Amino acid sequence: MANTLKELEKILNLSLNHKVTMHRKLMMYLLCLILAASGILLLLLTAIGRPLKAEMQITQAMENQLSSVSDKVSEELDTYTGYGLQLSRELGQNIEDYLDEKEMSVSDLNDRPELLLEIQKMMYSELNTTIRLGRSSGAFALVNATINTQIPEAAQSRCGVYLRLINVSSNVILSPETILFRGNTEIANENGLELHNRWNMELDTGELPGYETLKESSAQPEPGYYWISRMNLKNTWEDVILLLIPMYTETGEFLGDCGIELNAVHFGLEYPAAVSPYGSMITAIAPVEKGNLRLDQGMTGNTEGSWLGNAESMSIIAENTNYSTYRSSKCDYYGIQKPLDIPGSSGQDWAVAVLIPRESCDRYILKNRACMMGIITGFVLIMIALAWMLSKKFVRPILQGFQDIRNGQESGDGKYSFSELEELYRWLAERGKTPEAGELPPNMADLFEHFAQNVKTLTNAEYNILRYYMNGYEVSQIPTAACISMSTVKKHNGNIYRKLEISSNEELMMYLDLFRRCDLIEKLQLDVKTDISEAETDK
Amino acid sequence: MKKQKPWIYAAGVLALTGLMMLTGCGGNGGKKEPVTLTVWHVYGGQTDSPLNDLIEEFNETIGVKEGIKLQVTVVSNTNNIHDAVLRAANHEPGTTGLPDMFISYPKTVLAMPDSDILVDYRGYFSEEELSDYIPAFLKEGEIDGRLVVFPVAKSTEIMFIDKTLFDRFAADTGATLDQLDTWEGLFELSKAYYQWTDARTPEVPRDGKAFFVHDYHFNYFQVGVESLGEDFFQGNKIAYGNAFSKVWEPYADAAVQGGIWLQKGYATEPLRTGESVVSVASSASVLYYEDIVTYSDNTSKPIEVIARPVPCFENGERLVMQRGAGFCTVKSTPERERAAAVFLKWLTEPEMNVRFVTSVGYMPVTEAAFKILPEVAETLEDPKYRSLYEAFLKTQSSYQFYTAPQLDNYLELEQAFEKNVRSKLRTAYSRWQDEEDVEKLKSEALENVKALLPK
Repeated sequence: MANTLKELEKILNLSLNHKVTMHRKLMMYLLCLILAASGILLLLLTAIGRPLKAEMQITQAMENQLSSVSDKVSEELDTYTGYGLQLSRELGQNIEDYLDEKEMSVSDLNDRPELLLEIQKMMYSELNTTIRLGRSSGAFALVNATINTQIPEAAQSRCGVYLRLINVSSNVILSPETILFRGNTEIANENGLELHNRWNMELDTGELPGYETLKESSAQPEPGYYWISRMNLKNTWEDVILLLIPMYTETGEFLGDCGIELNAVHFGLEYPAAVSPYGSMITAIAPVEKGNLRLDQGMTGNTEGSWLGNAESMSIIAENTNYSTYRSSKCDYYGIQKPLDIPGSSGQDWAVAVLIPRESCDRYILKNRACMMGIITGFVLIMIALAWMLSKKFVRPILQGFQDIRNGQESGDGKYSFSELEELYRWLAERGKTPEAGELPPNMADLFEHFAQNVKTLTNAEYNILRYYMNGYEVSQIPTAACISMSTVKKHNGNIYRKLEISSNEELMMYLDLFRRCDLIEKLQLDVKTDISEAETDK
Repeated sequence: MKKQKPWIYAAGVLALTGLMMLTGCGGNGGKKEPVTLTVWHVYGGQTDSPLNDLIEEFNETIGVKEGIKLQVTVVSNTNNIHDAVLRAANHEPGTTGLPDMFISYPKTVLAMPDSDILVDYRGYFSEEELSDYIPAFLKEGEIDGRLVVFPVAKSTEIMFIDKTLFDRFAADTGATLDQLDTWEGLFELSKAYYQWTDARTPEVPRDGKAFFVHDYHFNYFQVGVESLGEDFFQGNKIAYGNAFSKVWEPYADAAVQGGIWLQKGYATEPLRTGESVVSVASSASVLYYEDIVTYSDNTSKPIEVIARPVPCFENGERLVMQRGAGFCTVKSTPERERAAAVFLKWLTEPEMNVRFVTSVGYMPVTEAAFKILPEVAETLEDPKYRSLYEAFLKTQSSYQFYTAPQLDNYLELEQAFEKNVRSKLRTAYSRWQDEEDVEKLKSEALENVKALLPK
């Protein structure tokens, strides 16, 4: 661990010590600015862009659709229930009156085909009216008696009429054509009806869950009706859910049942798949069992644009704050559901749901995300390009200036946009100026000037001695040449050293040598130079 | 120092973006949404339709592969689909609009306000592909030079017999099935059967039962007249020539005397309730005959239904009506139209086509399928279907097929004729029950029928 930290530290030091170009460094600063700007952009999008969030949009669309279809389903089922209850009241009363007139009970109708035909005629009239007014795909009624108690199926065979629409796709026309699914052929002949391809004379109560319980019970159950979950109409291709309403006499005797059919095709046509950018929104009503949406027992609207089968059970595999994920046999769906207030045949809770194929939703979310990413990426790329250009433009004159200096150019001539650069150039030009021929460097000139000025402070005697030195005499030669004693020479030497601010004969000799080499020896003059000329002449 | 390239920065940013985008690709969404086509068809009527099962199979196999899903919203008969199509095509209030595909006779297309809304299949089938189909079947589906009704199955008229009931009748009267080879023999048996059933309740005079029911009386007259060498139509009207009288005579004779079922509805209905014994109907009606008959006291008895070729006149040609609607596809997007063609190609592949037609009582539509049909027909489990295909093959070998002409008013003529003939003969039968003269009733009925037909 310690080694790793050390390694990291080394790498960090190396990177910190690494010399970067001015352009690169400037670029880094600008990139930092871009990142900061991107962060602000993201924050803004997050703050003001809630509606842009795909998940929220999908949820909102599903909630709107659910609200709409839920109202419609409730209204439609309420309508069916209303017409069904009306049917049961009218028909129950008619049958009761008929029985009273004949002074018979329901069971007395068994094996009385002529009386049962009369009752079927009553039923036909009421059912026909109910279908025309209620716009259901079918309606039925049965009385608790059979035309022939001797047949093996007599226990479950009950006399009645079941009318169905021939074509549910155009059920809103004024006089929809009906077909006789169950009932006496006389009813068909009298009313010009076709027999259904799978017609039977009577209804099979084995296909009506709960019928036997109703038959045994003398008290009308609450709320007086229930919905039978999805079932296939025997030997046909059609599935239905049925509203079943028992009929009782005033004394509580069970007369039979009547009800209304909600056909799967009809439901599909009534609830088309809503086209949305997120995929088809499919409507379903179904019992809910252990968290599963039992579409196999409910109704599914048009499934256009999805692989959803009409009769599948869907389990909820994930729930989040927005919507749930449902799994069918083939695909996953996103959806939401809410309870539907209808009584089920075995106390089931029903729900209405809106489902969207997960594939299309995910694609939309991804597309949305890609779009956002594209915008941000585009922004960043543009900013990088801008940073590149700006930094390049910024450093170009500086680098040009460096290049100019390297090339020995003497002046910026005001071509640089930075005053600092112009100043630097000027300073460098001054500093690096080459002396003219015979001209001393400034410091040397100052030095020589100072020395020459000091020479002017010498007395004539001292200057005479200096002249000997200037003419190349050694100290020992001067007493003889000047006809003075050595001690006098030494005394003058001391003064000369002091006034010329030097400390030794060697230093004096070095100065004189420099003046000589620079051809400036003649600058070492007193104001009166008589003795010097003499000295020169002497030499 | 090595010079840095600006595109390296851009590539880095793009790679980062790609990585971020990829993080959103997780999850198992399933398959791409299909092209969904709605279908109205007739194969199965209100029964558990075999075509629905095949469509389900298509959806599960080719459909999944090609992203196509067919959704059946109506299974009915051609008359109901005809009405629904015309209502939708005329945009009548309350209709749900046309489906993507529907089954139709050419007569329905002719009655549509604009047949140009239908796809010309030649845009989706190559000439080579079309050469596999029976040319006459394709020809039938052409309207104004456009192939708009695509054949997937063809039917012909076949005679169905409740053999159980016939045997009971034959045991008492000596009637034989061979008598049903001719119309003359059939009508004689019809009268005899009425007498036989009438005799069971001596206390109620003339309450016998009909022996014979025809799905389309119009077809009987049309094919009958043509088989006797005359044209049934003169322009767009019915030509009431000598041959018509010859065809009318035995038929009306039996009808007035109660031997023929004259109520509304299909021929299968009286056979199912034991109200008649013999029917001539589309071969497709085999699906609607049940193996039991339900009597008025709700007792049910098993019966044996057999099929034979339709009768012909003793001096007439062996001619039989060839029927069979086809699939029309409503123009939409090329993607949807192509999806419809994919389904039709799948359904008319020889093996699939034979499987399909033998489940619904039709003939296949390609030469290759016809070759394997006899072999497949022998393996059919249901004796009723085996009998049907025996009759089919006999018909194919010994009959000429007749196809109705494409007249603009064909449907109008058919419906009016059908309704009037049944109605007038029903009235005549009723009067015969009151013991009026048969010859007079026949003559009056004919005059009434002629008078009521559209000019």
